[in-house]
Amino acid sequence: MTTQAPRARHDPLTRGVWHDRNGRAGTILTAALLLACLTAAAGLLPYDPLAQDPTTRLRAPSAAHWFGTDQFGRDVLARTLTGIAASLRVAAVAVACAALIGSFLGVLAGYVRGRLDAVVSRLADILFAFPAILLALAIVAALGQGWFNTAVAIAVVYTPIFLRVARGPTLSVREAEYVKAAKVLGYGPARILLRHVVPNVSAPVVVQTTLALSWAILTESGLSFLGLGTQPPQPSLGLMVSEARNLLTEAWWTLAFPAALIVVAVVALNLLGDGLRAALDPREGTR
Amino acid sequence: MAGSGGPLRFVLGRLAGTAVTLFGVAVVVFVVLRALPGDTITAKLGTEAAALDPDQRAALTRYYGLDKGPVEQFLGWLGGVCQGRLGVSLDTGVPVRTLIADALPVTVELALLAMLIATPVGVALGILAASRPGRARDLTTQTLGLFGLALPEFVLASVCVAVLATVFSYFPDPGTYTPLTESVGGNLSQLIYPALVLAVGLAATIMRTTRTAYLENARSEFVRTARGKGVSPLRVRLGHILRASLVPILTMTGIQFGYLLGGTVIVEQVFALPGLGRLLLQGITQQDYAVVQSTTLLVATAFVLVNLAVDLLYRLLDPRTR
Repeated sequence: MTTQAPRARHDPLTRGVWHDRNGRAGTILTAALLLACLTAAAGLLPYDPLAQDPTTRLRAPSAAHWFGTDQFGRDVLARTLTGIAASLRVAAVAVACAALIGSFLGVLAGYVRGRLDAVVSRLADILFAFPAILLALAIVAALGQGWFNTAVAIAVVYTPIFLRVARGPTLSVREAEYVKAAKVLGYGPARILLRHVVPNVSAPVVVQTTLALSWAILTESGLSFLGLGTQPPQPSLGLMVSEARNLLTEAWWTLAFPAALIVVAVVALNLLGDGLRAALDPREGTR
Repeated sequence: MAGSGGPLRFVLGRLAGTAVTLFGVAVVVFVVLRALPGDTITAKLGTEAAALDPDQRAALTRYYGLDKGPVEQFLGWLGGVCQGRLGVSLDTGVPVRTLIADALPVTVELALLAMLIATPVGVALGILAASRPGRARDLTTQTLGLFGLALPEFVLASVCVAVLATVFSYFPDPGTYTPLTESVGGNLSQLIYPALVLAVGLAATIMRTTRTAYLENARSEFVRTARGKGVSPLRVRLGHILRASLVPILTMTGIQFGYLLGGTVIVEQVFALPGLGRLLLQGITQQDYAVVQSTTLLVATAFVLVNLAVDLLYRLLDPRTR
């Protein structure tokens, strides 16, 4: 007798995402962004994002500087790409921590139930009682500024979301016939959790991960804009927008390009999330 | 949602749950902000704290109650908060209670104004999108909604302030804020732009909720029956589908209002509005922890209470949950 969990989908995940129009657009945009980030991280950009040049202050976009230069003569393209790489790094660290800890606690609480579930769920409720940016601000205030502390703050904010996302399916899988059968056959909790619960929980967690990444980018850039995230002279998209606020009328490009890249990143991850949702749940398919 | 023991039992259960959550919120605020770098004495005296001799430090430790255990300190703090003793701002020397009393109306008014703008726009766009699902109108509205959510508030606010400065020579200044009680026109002229900025993301969220609820209800049995009985299409749309969609829309609007009470930090900062968000941010940058602690606790409490009100209202409005 097999106790393998039933699989609702017939297509492999990647094909499902690619067949969805939103998923396809999201995949292409996200891949392009990652490529740009890798280029920046590998130091392959033609300009150093920190190098100042007083002779090329506030130059408009041109063949030499595609996105123009800022008030210190720094290349806006190099700074924007390094900035999005920094934002993605914070978002990735934060969401990875939140997804791992939140999902682990959610699965554990949903499977074990009882007092553990009550305590963990109540803790999640308490963290949910804070508006996201407020909790992030309070934690940054306590820990101090800087990219790692921003990541910790965002991770704390997003952990209860993953906890709820993982707990729900665990509760229903726990009562499923094939899990009861597995228990009767004498399989231990570790095997049941890995073989049956985790595959059912992974789909909503994956979808939530892409969405959380997009909101984490917004939160990170918001905190940096307020001066509480990445510190100058390191480029960060929120910080770049903040520095460009007073230059908008004379040098629109210093604000427009970093702002546009934030929007592109958030839209890309949202579309990818839509595509993943459509691929993992056929009822949600848009086309 | 539906409880098994009747409405009173449900309300009492929710009230008890809210009380536990609020206590947890107080614990989180206390623990997070007591874990701050440096101690209260250093925070109060700054660099002069280094000049204290051990006896002076011990006396101050006793004076601030820092010699007591953490539980005793927490209960002392919570007792004070419940009696309205929120401490004194280290930066300005003004009681935190006064600072909050001045800032709270600004944030509440800003949040209400943003909701007033966003709700009709969001609902109208949601109905527009859902009335022709999958068509150009729907796709355009959905794309607009996605961009509305993806466009950071700080970008919109920065652009708005720059345009106001260039075109109208208007420069936000916290010193010139006009309260509603002084001049309605003067107050609205200062709050309308930040409210519009906040309304963009809100309208996008409300649009999405309206579209989903409207589409779901449009497919339901009672709408088919109404159409079969010959009810006019407009009446079906407004009287049946929209009416049934009001519950999720109201719920979402309420939740968003709760979020706004803590989510106006960036807009208040850019537009230099003396609200709770700006007060909190100033508290953080000045390391004025009495202000940070009280503001955080107040906003989180308001958020919990708004959510409770939404939950109770939901039960009152939706016949299925009675």
